[in-house]
Amino acid sequence: MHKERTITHAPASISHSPFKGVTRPVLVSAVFFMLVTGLAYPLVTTGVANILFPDQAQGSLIVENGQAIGSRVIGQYFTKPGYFHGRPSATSGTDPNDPSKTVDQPYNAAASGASNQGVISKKLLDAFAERTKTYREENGLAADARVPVDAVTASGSGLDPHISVANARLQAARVAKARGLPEDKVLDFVDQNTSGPQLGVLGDQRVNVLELNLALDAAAQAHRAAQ
Amino acid sequence: MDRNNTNLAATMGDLIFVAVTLLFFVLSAGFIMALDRI
Amino acid sequence: MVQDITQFVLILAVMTGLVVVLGKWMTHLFTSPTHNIIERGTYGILGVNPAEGMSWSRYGMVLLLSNAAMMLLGYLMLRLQEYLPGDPLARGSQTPDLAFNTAASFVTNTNWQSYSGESSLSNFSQMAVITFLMMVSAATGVAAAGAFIRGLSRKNTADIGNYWVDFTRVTYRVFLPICFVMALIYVWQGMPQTLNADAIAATLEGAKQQLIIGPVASLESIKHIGTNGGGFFAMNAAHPFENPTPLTNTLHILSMLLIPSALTYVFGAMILRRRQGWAFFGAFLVMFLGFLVLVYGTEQAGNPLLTPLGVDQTQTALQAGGNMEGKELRFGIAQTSLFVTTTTAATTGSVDAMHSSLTPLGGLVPIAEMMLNNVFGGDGVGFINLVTYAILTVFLVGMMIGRTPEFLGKKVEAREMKYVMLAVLAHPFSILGFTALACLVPSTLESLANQGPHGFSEVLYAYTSGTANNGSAFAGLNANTTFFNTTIGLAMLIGRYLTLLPMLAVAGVLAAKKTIPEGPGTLSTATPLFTGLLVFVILVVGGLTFLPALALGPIVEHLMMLGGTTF
Repeated sequence: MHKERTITHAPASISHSPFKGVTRPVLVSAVFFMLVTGLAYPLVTTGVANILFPDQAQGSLIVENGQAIGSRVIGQYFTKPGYFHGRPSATSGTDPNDPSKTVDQPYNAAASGASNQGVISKKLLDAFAERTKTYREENGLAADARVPVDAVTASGSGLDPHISVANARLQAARVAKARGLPEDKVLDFVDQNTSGPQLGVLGDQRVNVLELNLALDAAAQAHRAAQ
Repeated sequence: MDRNNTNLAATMGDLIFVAVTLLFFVLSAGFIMALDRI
Repeated sequence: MVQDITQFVLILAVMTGLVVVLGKWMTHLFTSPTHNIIERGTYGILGVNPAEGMSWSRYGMVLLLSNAAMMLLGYLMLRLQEYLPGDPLARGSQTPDLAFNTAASFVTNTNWQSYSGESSLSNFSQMAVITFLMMVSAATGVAAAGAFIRGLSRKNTADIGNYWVDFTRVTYRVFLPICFVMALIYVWQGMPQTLNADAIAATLEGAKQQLIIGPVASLESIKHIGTNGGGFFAMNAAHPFENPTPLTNTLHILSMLLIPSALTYVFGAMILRRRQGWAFFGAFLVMFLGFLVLVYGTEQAGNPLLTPLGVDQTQTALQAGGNMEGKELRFGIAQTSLFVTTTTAATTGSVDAMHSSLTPLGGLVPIAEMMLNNVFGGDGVGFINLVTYAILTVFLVGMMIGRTPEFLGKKVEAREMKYVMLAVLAHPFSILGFTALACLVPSTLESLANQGPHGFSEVLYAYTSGTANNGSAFAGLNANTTFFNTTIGLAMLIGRYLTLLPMLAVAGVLAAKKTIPEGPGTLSTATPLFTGLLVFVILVVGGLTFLPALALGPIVEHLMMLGGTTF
């Protein structure tokens, strides 16, 4: 048996007719809640966020000599041998020669994108074959060496700032050679820029490519300044 | 001339889609009345 | 592997704890007779009497018409974007068909986006249209669930509550405070929250990188807590600005499950049968875990067509392994799998990875969850859907054992069953009907990004997602065509209102009945047996309805993958 309990008090009146007195609330509520939830709420949040966390609120920008050189959380496109390379990115941008067409433009932060290809897509498998070959060549690996999967798969956003530790370690030799540094020194830099799972369990180990490359550049600059 | 045509197309589009929207909600309101009578 | 399972257990345990906390808070919200001063002021502005009780048809009508007004307001502002302030990057306005689709999408809590946020919407629209409709559509769904539960808990009355009171309280007492705090936590982790439209950076290799920014965090919090799902950016929660860290990913997951799970507690508390509430929670959880195991297993196993190329997909300490195409490294396979399972369970539809690049069986999980539409489900409507099936189960069982079906002490008779069947059938009619229509239209082929069965899956996914008010996509499909914008728009409206309104009717007619005392022949609905039957009915009805369509898409694609056929 269930105890009897009145859930609410009896209402003053029950309306059965669906349409009576409905026009004003329907119209007013649309505008009112648009102002409250669509303007007041985000604007207040913006104000408070910029007081508490101004750096993150503005995009976690890394600024050097007064110029923004990127964001801590957004990946960049790296191709030079002296830099660690990020994951493949499937973003595109407008063709500079023909504004009605698009061209591949990796790490385009104005138009996040992915391949959206399924696993049996020929286009995708061809891309994999090519990327695997390029990765081995760039990093001086044997023709049958196994390549970490994140190095040949495009990220979901096209702006992934991280690579796996396995990926970083395989690139270290190439970077060390290009910069004239011993490989363990470079591996040290990799360790310093590796984040572990948050709170011990959440997510995966990851290396922030931009921060890693910045650290290498800073060390090189310090080294040059010292000489 | 071209802009007039684009504006005309856009206004036609607006009329159509606002009409479709209103039609859907009117039909749904009718659906409520019909359900009440089942 | 062990660390992955630990994550899953931890996150689901926190979710369960929050069920009680938020459940108690929301029960109070739906049952308390006192209004606070801000709410009384709001009722004054709206011109409503909070003491007015509403019959189900009035409640439904008010809900419907207020949503209509909000959709039209959204449409208007989207069409006028080029004339409104806050558009420094001069993005112009959406076309009428796109604006229709967007407005319909956000007012139905779907958040299907045929547009890409970075290029289509100004920061003003992201706030005044998108954030606004996200908030109010979520509040609508939760209010409806409150009225539904209230109706089931009452007897001998036609009154199921006051829509304005439910809607306002849900907005003021649940959404605004939680979203505000969550948004600040998000900013701390690295989400932007600014009125600036972009920041230009000069990359290390000398290229120019235009970083689009804006009021992201305030949108992101209501996006997940309101089971909305529309992204500020095109790539949604895979974009680092919408989801910078594993912690934000975890908070997104908890946010999505928060209200759908808490409503089971609210239900148990309001009908004074706590065990029933937990039994429903159990039904949700069992289905959820089944799907999670499937997607995690197949994604971790990876793409077998990559191994002959010499790609290493093994899971080691140094790499996540698995199928990483379309995924973000900071989430890896485990967190992504949990997110994929959650987002289509809770009909949110945000994505932290590209669903189109999931393995075939991995991609089957989101489709199946949307087809079932009651594995936790969206804010408010997910719970209502589960009870729809509970009533259906009670009816089937009653017919089988030759007793009048009873649910929560009320007889279930022909009238209610007609309403239930209308709600149950609207869903597959829309999905299968529109998919079939799209397959007959030649222009569909041009919109596909994949050939073969995966292309068919793109279309099936689109109408499933729209009807279920989910909003995720196999994103290769170009849905920004007049045909898709219109048909998906209609699917979303049908999926939302034509399933909700009959169920409000059920609540109304059950509220008017008298209760019958429990007897020896009463089937208890709070037992593991009934919960098992309920899950069985959901899976069988869902399976029979959708298996043929699934066979043409993900299932045949899986078989082809095993056979090495490519397109």
